Amino acid sequence: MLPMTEEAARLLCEKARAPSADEREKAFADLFAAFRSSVFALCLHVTGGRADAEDALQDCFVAVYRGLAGFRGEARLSTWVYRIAVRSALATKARRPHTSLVDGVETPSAEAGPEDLAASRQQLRKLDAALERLSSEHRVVLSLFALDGLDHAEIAAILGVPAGTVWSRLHLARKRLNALLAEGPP
Amino acid sequence: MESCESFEEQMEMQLHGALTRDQEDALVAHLARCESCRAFQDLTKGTNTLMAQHASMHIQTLDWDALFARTQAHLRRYTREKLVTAGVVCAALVPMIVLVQGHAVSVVLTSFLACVVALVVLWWRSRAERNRPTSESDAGDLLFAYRRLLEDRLRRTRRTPLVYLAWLLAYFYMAREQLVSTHAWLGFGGMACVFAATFAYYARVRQPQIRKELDALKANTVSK
Repeated sequence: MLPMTEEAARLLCEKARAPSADEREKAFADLFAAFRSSVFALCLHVTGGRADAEDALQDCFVAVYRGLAGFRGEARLSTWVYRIAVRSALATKARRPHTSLVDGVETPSAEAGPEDLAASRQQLRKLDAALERLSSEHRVVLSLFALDGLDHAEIAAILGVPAGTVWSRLHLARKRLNALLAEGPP
Repeated sequence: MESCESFEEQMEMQLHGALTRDQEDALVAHLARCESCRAFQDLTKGTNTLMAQHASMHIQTLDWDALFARTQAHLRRYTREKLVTAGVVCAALVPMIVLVQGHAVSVVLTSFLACVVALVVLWWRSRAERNRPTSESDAGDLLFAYRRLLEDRLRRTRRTPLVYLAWLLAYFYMAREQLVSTHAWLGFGGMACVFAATFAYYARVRQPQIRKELDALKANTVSK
């Protein structure tokens, strides 16, 4: 499901240009609520750690707030937000040493026992090691396709490449990831 | 006859509903007889599920109110940083104007001129920031646009201290005859301190930061 319809995005952009500071703050709060989960998930997979994802999310929303009043609606609001999110996540990842995806992972469900938790951690550790060895463009494309509600046309718009390139980039990324998962940690 | 490679690409398209009916039928028929493609599909589905589950685990346990409050604090810090930049520019300009004009210049005029220049500097900086690769009308490849932006930033951080140095030397040359009184030397010393702080900040903090970011991106951008 998309975080926000086109009409809701248009109204929100109008509110962001309102002269009243309260209305602008309200528009920002609404935008944060609409995109926070998907932006966090994207940042989590690109940066590889929860704390880094939180920092990238903050950078992203600060950039969105600064640019929202000047947003002209030439692109979809979600496309613009995700472009900023990708850039923030890559910048955060470059600044920090690698942190693990496994950090801060709780029991997968209330009924899960210690074996399930151990298995889940083991799987995550493998995925984490494999994602870490992927190139930025592969990690970004996999992270975007892992989000709910984004079709390939929007992912192409976010990355600024033709739709065909998105599929071939995704396929190469997937092949590389599967090969790394099969071969295990370095 | 299509290869396994092409069917692997179509598996992704199938997962995201981008296949025609005929293509989907051909894929299903291929999967029925190709074990390695079935294994590839299972691994793909498993990885997708794991990534989605992992993200949702974190999303459920996040304290969103605290994160929103931190984002707002981050925003306030950004505004404060802009004010500090304006303050530093003013602090650099006041002694410079006093140095050039001597005692004749009034405090009000000096402060006014300093504020005007500080505003121009802030406007120029925000104009440069608008050219980041997040502009809605930017149609280029995001990763390459980001790399270009970092390279531009690195060039700017190398150039800015040189501009300040040229500025300092120009005023030293213009005001060399007035450099006899203590107040003139204090003014010049103030300018030199601002220059040294700017130079140190760019050389020790900003340039290594940008270079690290650029190296990480360069090392990872091209698919291997």
